[in-house]
Amino acid sequence: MGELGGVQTNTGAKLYFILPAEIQKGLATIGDPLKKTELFAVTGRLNTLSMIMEAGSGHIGSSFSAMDIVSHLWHNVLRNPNQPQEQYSDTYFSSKGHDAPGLYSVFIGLGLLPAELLHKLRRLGGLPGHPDISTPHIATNTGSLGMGISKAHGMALARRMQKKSGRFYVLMGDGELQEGQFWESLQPAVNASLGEITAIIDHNKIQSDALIKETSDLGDIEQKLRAFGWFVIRIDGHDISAIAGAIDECAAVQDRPQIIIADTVKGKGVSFMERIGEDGYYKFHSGAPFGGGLSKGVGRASGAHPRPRHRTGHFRNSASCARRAAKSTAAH
Amino acid sequence: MDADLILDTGLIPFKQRFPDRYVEAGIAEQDMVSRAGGMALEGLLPVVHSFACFLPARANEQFYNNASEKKKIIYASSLAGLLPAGPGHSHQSVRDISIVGSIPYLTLIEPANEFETKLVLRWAVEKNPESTYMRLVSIPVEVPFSLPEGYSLERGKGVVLKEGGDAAIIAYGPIMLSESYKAAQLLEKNGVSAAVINLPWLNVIDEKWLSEVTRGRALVATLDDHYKTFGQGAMISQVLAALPNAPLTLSIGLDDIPACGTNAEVLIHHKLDAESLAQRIIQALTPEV
Repeated sequence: MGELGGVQTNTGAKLYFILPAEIQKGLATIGDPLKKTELFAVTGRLNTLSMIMEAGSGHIGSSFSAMDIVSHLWHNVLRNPNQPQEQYSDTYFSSKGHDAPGLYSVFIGLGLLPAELLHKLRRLGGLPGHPDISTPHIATNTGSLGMGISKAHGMALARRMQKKSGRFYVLMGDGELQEGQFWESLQPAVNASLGEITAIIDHNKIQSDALIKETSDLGDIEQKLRAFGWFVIRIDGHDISAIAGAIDECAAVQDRPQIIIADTVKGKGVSFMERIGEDGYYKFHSGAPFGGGLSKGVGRASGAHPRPRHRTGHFRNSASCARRAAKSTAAH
Repeated sequence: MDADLILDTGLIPFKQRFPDRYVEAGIAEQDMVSRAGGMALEGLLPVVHSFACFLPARANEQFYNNASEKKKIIYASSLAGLLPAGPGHSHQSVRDISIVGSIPYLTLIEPANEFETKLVLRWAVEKNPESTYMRLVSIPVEVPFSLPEGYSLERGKGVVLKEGGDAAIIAYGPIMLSESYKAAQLLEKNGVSAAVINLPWLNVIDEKWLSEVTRGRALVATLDDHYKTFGQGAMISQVLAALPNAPLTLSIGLDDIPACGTNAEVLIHHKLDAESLAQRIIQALTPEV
């Protein structure tokens, strides 16, 4: 691979990746950490899109809806993450696990995984379709829904028993809340006063097939969670400063676990992925996002959402550098 | 870790002795098993207990998810098997081998008596690098056999409890081994010499050992305290079928939803009592006219 991965798919579409060095170059021009995070999330979306396109399948909708939350956590919040043997370690994992491609993009963007893995999604010896602890920095195997709070509960008890410390951040899908185990896990976590657990619901309103409200409506989810004894906040899950505020607020709560209901948009960042199909079904949950219409998606992922000029400008500069490099490397 | 069953299963002394190492999960097996997975990831060795009818069935996917992380957990299931028959089929665990037996990195084992139970627990803690599922019978049984002096567990290998040349009965656990032993005594009176072999391993088998211990016998009968389908007998038959000069095999186990009744009634009803076993073995050995 050259300095930048430009890859031709078998449909003839060209994929663009932004390498970590390019991302860091762009980030270095921004001072405000939250604004840095916004840009980082945009690069994460682009790389996620290209990874999934190259792999031919992957959960794009939920990778995109969770990207701002995941970017903030990994960029600004987690201390010594996912090092269970160490005295202090924060733990992050996604309970739904579908958003693995997005998480991999974040890892690669931060230099936690080699950039070559951008081309190894869902490949033998590469990055699995759902999280697996054989991948560095993955805390637990997920993808089978509803287990997240239970797992964090066990981890937290074990850390307490071993006199270790650290906070737990568990990302959950909203469709996932239909699983019985989620409800089974809520009360015991409160009973054990697990203030070190913060769960974040990526509330994008759409499950695998269709709208949650048309599948098995969650009802008044805030009230239900409060009734179990959780500390509950609801925020816009694409507003980095709101995410940051909620995370800080939760960290101050010590006597009970907290849950952030983050209102998000499934497929956020690509306009035509942000809505349910005319037939009532959502087409970008998993699988190949589109056949040959790739360049359309790439263009929109990078520029679909107007942001303050200086940030978008840097991103576009990075992206255009990336594209130029891609052309030179894709030629051979 | 326990799911509201310490009174029924005699675990209160553990809780009293190790209050900091006892976790009451409530009647929430899936939550409990995933919590165990989280503990294992953080470096602990969780021992997870509930009834066999609930633990692997309710939390099957959680068992598998934990196994996929290849961390060590000990699952202990009590009330395994057909008896006691009083509670009825909701509590008669006769399908747990088939539920979790194919999970990689998980060894299923059922001890024959109190002594072997201690061996199994020690083996699970100290020797087995993988996770262990201990299947435990929960009624008092007066066993007519004893394990040989100096017996120790060897993965996939059984042990002969009673010698015999014509046939071999392979079983596990106190109830079915006792019925097998009594059946072998009845068979002797009918001129059939039958060995009784304890094979505590439910999903692993040493093929060489099985080949040697069954060589030259006219019949190998397997006896499951479980549905016959996908029980230990199926594993044994699979190995035997591939042997040259394979002995005739007779798979015995549950064929129907377990009946409710007294223990003796229900054993007879399902033709799993010593007398029925002896008859079925004689029948299998008798050439059809």
